[in-house]
Amino acid sequence: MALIKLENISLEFPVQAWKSDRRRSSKDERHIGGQLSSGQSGHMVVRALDQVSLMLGAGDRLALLGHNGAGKTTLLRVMAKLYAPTHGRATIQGRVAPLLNLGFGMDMDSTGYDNIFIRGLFLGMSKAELKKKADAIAEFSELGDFLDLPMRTYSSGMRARLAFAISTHVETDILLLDEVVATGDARFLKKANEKLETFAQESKLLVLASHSNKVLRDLCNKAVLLEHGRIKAFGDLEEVIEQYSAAAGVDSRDG
Amino acid sequence: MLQVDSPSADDGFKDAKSRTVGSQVLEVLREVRDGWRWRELWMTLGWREVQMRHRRSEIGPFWNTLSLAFVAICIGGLYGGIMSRPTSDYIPHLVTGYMTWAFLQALVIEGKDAFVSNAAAIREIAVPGTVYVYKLLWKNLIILGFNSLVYIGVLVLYQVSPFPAVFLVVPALALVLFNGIWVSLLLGLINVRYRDFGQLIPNAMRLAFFVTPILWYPDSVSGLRAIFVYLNPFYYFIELVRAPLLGQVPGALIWTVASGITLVGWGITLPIYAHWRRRIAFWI
Repeated sequence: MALIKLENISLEFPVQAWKSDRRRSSKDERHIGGQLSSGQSGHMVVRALDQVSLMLGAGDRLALLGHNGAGKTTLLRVMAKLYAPTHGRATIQGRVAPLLNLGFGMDMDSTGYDNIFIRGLFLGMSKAELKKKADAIAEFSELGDFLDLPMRTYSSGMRARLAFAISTHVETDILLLDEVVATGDARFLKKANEKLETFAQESKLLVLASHSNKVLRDLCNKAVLLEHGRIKAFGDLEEVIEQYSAAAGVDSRDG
Repeated sequence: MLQVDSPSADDGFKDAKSRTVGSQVLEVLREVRDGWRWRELWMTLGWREVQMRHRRSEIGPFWNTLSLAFVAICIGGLYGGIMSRPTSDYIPHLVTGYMTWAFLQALVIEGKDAFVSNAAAIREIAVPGTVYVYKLLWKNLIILGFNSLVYIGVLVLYQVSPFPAVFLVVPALALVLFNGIWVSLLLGLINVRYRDFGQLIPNAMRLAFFVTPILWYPDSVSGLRAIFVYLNPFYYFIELVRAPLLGQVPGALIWTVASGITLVGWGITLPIYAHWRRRIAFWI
């Protein structure tokens, strides 16, 4: 049973050791980042999420849209239970498999095959489960004999394939993806999309942050537009993409 | 298999202000328990770290054994003479004390890095913080195992029979490990926020090595100097493990003080860690 319920959450990062003597208050409208403000004793506070409320259930495939620093990754990290919100309440039910960083849980000096076990264990699988699934993961990654070589011999696309293969083979209810599907080549993209589609059909919950409208259109059925940590729009994917493109001044059919 | 899918695990995600200290402490205890469920992960990672330290060497982790053997031969030969003790007495004292010290020191020095050295994982995946602590305890337990080969060699060489007191080493090590958990949680937490603290620890430990009776005997100091023995927490833990290894039963004072330190340590750590642990991901 997958459920993500965010009730009016805000998240403030204290930024230590950084006094604001350089910064002049600019009147220009900013296009990047969250909201900066001064906390007690002069240090800066970044308000990365501002009163976000969101309710997602099984079968929802949410696209996260927004400018650089709009809070997409931070929101994913809240959903992954990595960050506890400073205000508000987040309820996340179900097993979560985050795929935020492709390099994570990967040891460059170990073989690809060993890394299936390390990353898989981190994602909450048991060794017995992994032994059963190792072949399927190896096959999906299409890395063949490269799996017996150390990871440092891999290209970044090959690493992405392996990381993606492991994360999508985990028994999970919620899959969180951050801008990663775009790394592979065309053939792998197609395969990844198919995998994510079956994943979505099994009425699991998928949240994907991406700047590629094509990827989002292929995979998602809902969208959230974030701006400086606030939810600007939530609803049908096409409408939100349209709104985002209009705001950014580009054609929605691009990318 | 994991606790995260039960609704109770979401308690920790309520508004920080609405939670009482009591329920926060309960969450920490739950984390201590949940870490155990992840044993396949930390056992794998711990063992890998042991191998990693001696990557591509032929002897591998047996370098731990060898370096302790060198210490036993060189320091044992030299200081045994300085201390004018017979080698058959001094070398077992040195080897057991030194390998216990190496274990304690690793728990403190690596404990302070429990979170800092796992920054990548903490930013990526929500596993109980105790997983990183258990990983380092397990790793150092394995290294202690490799070191104990020298100990067995010494027993055979000097025909010391530690039985039956040697079995007391099991509860002794359990108590040390139980202390290792709070030390790592507390020092690890402080070091995430104040990195200078982490620079201080190895210096303090280097000093502690010389003022703790490892190279020398606790009964060879007298008068005011005895405070280095009796006010030194490391002395009690060293003695707790060393005595059974040499076939002696640790005195009641040793057990009492070691248990007292355990209680005080946990008493200090629980509320502090309970209050700040959710900030670790922000500070890392």
